[in-house]
Amino acid sequence: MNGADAIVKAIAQEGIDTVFGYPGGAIMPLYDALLQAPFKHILMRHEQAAALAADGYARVRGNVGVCLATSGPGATNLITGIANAFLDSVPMVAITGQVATPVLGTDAFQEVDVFGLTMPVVKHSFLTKTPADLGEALAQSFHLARSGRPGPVVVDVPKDVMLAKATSHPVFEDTSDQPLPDPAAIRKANQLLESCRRPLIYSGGGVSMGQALSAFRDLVARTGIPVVTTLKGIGNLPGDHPLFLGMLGMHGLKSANLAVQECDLLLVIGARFDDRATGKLAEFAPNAAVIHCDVDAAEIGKLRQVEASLTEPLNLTLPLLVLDPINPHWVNRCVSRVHAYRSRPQTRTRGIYAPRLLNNLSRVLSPEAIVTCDVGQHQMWVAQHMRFARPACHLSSGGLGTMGYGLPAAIGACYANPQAPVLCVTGDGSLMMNIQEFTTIVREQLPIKILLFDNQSLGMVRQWQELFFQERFSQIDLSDNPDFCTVALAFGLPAMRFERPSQEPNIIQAITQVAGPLLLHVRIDPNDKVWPLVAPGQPNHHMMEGVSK
Amino acid sequence: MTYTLQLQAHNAHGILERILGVIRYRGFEIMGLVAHLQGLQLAITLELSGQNQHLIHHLRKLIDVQFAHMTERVSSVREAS
Repeated sequence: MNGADAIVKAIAQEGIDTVFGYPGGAIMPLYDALLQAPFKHILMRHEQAAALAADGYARVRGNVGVCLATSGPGATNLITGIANAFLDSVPMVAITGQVATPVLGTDAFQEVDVFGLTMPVVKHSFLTKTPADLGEALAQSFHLARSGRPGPVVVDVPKDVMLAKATSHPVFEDTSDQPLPDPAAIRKANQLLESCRRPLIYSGGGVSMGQALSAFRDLVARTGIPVVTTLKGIGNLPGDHPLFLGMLGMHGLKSANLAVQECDLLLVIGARFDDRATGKLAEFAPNAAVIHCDVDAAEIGKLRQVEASLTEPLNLTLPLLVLDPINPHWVNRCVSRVHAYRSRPQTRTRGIYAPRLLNNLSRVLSPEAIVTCDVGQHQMWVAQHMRFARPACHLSSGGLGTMGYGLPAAIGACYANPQAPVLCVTGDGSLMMNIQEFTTIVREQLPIKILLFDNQSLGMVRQWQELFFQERFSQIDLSDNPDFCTVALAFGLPAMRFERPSQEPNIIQAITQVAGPLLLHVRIDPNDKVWPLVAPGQPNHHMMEGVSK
Repeated sequence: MTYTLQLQAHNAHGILERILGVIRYRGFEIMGLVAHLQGLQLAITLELSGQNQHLIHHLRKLIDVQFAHMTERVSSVREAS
């Protein structure tokens, strides 16, 4: 068994049934070994898409996502996807081919310092200069990717090490004791819960990435504390749960933001006070004591001082939190505002209106459906107007905000859960970032529906230029877009075009009833905006609630 | 105030670069550095307005870092007085 065989064996041992990649010179031994692999390899058309597909796979499957690329440009193309996984704490192992050890450091053909380039955006990385190094890296990398706060691990493997006889190395087994919750910290947290009058849970992606969804929902059921979520926390409670007040932050629901501003205790669970969530930090939750539950101790006190913190795994800490009874007046106050402020898709008739369409679509989509987003206005409309049963049903690039995420993430999602309908909601700017993956979808006949909102512009940038740069529009005109339906058809991807509001039911029907892959090209008005909006530098209770021109 | 950041780490490939990268990214300027590369031990001098547990936590997240601790350093002027 050579090094390449050992890599294949290690991936198989992890129970990973699909990897995503793109071959090239330095990684050819691994691609040769893949011919005998017991798992699938999906040939993507760009390494960035391979990394983002692995990200989508990981989020849906709850396992490590694996992507492969060759040295030099193959590896550099992965970096956006690796950074995306780093910012969103997604478990990933990226395996890159490297030039052979005798020429390392000589500026050889397709040589680049992958270890150095990726260092700031990985949880850990290995450059395996010997078979023993490779054995150790394979033994550790998957455990490192998924343990604690998950994240990406890069394994950079010189070509000669892939060809050399592998040395066996025992797979890393975590024999360390689970960290037990600190009784004093639990006592302090429960004292704060007991003494508060207006408690609120602010939850994020850490709930699902920590595999703690059941413990989280049990906590909410036991205590009756209302919940707001971050973008990545959407689905921590089902969208129609009576205690779910909505997403908080810049484009959050007003009921969520007002609850945060009024609460006297903020129980933060798997969230990190991101600026898009907090608005003006100094005025965020100004009356609240904070209990911060996060497995990453570096997040405690990073942006907001806390009164209590719990850094053990959520599955261990959340069951120990107690609140009985909750103040019913506070709950009523929070809950009653949800209906009043729930985003009301406008009923104007000029053109198809994306928020209204998404709202209506969400009512008929299977609860198992997975919706992936790109980045921009459509991403916020999905977060605001669609409802999700679980976090793994809503894949969105939260931390890095990667345009081009949606299509490859949808491909990854298809392999992670082949039974689930998969919808990619995208925009004309984002789609062009990874449009080459139409080929992958057609080759694999993945039944992905691609709902493209085309406003012939970079809508979110345009919105900000209109609101905050005195309508000085700069480089947002995409009116030279190709005819997307023609492009799709050239790839062999069926496509439909929609322009009139009366066609909105037809769009929903096509998404829910057409078999196989489909592009739905939907023209929308470039003046449509994402409302409400907290302007930069403003506290979250100062929400602009404009109307489109 | 001047602080000394004491670190001990496995001397794994790239560990020094990793540590220095975290300090740079988190916004700190290194004023001095003493390194013993056998079983990597570092003493890094930083100018800070106060203790920074935030930086310590980020350094402890590095897989190969075994020990990270920060102490206030008595300046030579104070020593002289």
